[in-house]
Amino acid sequence: MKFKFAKFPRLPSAAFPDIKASPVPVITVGLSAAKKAEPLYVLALIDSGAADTIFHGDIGRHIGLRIEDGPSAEHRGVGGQVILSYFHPIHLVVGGHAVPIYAGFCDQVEPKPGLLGMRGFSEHFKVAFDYRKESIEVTPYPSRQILH
Amino acid sequence: MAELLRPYAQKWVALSWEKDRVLASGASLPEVAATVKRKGYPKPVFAFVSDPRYGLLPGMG
Repeated sequence: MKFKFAKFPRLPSAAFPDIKASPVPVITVGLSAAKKAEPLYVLALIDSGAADTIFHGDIGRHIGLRIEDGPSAEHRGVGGQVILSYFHPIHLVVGGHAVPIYAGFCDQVEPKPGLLGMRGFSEHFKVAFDYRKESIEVTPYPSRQILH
Repeated sequence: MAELLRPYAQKWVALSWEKDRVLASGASLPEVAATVKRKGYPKPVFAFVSDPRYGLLPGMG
């Protein structure tokens, strides 16, 4: 499955005076709490630096989860701030390919709507970035075996 | 998409599946989701438009 980098508006700065937009590896993914439920589709950032896959709490609530009922884990962001996520088993749909994952939900996650990290995303999909072509290739692994 | 999203900084948006139209926007996901449901748009894609002063700063984990 090939995706194009999305371009989000960005204001010029002293370091990047000519910049008007940032190309970012966001892709459309679907989330549902049950396999046969209609997924909620969001644009989420592929973040190879994130250990887990985390979405904003409102997304979890929208698909019917009681967020705070799930087991929690703390995460530290690049700015040093600590956030608390609540984890739930959900189904993630990428390009029509659905996999069961264990994802966190947090009202403080940045950037919103969420991050596709190592656990929950990269354990199921091989990801190749081509920055010069501004494209991303996402390939489901043939094995459903999950490595932890 | 940058030009399409430029007026919606710091807002939740619902995009058409082709991402060529903003179907609805608002301060919260529930608000935007309710609007697209009421108007009957099929298969919207929800996103949050970051503050254009900054690049995205991921890394929670």
